[in-house]
Amino acid sequence: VEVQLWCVAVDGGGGGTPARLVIRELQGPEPIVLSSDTEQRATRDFKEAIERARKLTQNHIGWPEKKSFEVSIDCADEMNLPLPKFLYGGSHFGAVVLGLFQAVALTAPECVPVHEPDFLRVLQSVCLESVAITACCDEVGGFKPVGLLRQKLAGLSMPALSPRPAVCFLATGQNLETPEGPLPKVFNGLALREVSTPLSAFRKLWLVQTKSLARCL
Amino acid sequence: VKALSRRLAEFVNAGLFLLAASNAARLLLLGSTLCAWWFLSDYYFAPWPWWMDRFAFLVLTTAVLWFAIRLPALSRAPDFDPLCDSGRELELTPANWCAILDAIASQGGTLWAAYWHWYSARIRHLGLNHKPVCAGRLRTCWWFHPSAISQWMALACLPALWIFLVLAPLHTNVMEKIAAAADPHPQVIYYVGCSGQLRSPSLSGNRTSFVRKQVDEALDSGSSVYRRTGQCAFLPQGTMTVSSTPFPRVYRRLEANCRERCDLLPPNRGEDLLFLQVPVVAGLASFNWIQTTPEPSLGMSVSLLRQDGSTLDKVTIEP
Repeated sequence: VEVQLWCVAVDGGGGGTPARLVIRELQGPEPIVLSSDTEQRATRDFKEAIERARKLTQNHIGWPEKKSFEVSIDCADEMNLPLPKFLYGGSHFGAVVLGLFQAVALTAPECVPVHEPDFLRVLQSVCLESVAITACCDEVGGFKPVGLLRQKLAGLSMPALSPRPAVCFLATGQNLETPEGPLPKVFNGLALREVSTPLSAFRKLWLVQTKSLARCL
Repeated sequence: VKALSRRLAEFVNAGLFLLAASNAARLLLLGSTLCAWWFLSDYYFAPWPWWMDRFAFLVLTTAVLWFAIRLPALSRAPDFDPLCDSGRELELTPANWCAILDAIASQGGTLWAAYWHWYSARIRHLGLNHKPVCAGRLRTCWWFHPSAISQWMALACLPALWIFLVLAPLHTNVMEKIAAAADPHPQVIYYVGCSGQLRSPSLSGNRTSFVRKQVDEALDSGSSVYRRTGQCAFLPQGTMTVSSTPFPRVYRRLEANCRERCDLLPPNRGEDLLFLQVPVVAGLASFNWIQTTPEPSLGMSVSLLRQDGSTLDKVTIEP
């Protein structure tokens, strides 16, 4: 099982670099590991964000025994943009938690609470390939606004990206006023949507995906 | 080709649903087919090719399928598409597809919901633990499963009905009467035009040559006699153009009779005839004639006929 979605890394100069967050199923004693390249770039707060995402996943849908997941931040192939030397901040939390929710639902559906069978279908069926998210973790496991939003969105809306991000989820309450002016609801073709929790992000994606599939099924 | 096959599969699935799953939908489809067939057997919308009269009701049946099932999907397009172009490659288990189809069903009205629930039931018959199916194959993956036999048998009714209706066009005067009652204008022949080429001799030096001159004239009209009074009277052959009341657009024919003084040239260039019937389209009909006796009188009569052969109007053309 491999889950991919878009995230954005910010370099020391404040520029946003689009990157693929890849979560792969592994066999190993550690519940979660970083790929060697990501491990070298990871700062302490980045690792904390990963650990918070793991705990939130475990609390909400469970965690499979004897299974491990590898988290990797890869550069976008088509653009070959180098990743920043260090991965700062907790804004990758949103992407990691969405990826882990789906990875656990696909590899260990028995972990998902049995009283929520519909939610298992939602987690397994939603396509995250063209989804981007930039959100930190708040105290109760929800999403929290991030900084340098315009730079991050500028990175995610580069036209050469493939698959092109269709939507970028932001935390509810994210300030769209930036020093350069207010951000529109659609930023260079990238729809911006506010969500408060990972579950609400999945529900929103599910609704949109069903409408989209109704046209091609 | 792929897009065409997708449309075909879409159409077949909609047809399977309408004929196999819902009594209301079955009534709607069969009723609309019969109405379209009856209506188009009597009435035409435009001067289209002849075969459209026979097959246009199939187009209407298809439109019913399209408007009932597919159009609502297009109108519910999301404001952003997370699947983009990869929607057809999305691969999920039948259980997940059923959940998606049921979710789609909950987004619309009765017929829409019935269609997607029926679709979901077809996928469920494959078995929820069946191997994953990609979106591109979902429409057809259940077609050859034993559970689809009853659906196919129901669908077979539609082509059978179509074949029967195509072979048996119904021609009645019902539409003629309805439309004529609604229209105050008299149903008559009100114009006859004559055209052809007149050869007149001209002298150039010691030689006589013939000059061709195009003649297009309206015949002088009386109560029921149209007279060739101008140069048209000297034409040895030509074309008569007859105009009659253009509404209602029911199927009518024009019958020309030469009474052995001329011949009528059929449109398909067959043998010359003394008696000819041509279709009237939007009130207009024309036919070619050739004079066969030295007498100036054509002695031609022209009748406007209904579908059942009864005469609406009759005029003669003299001389």
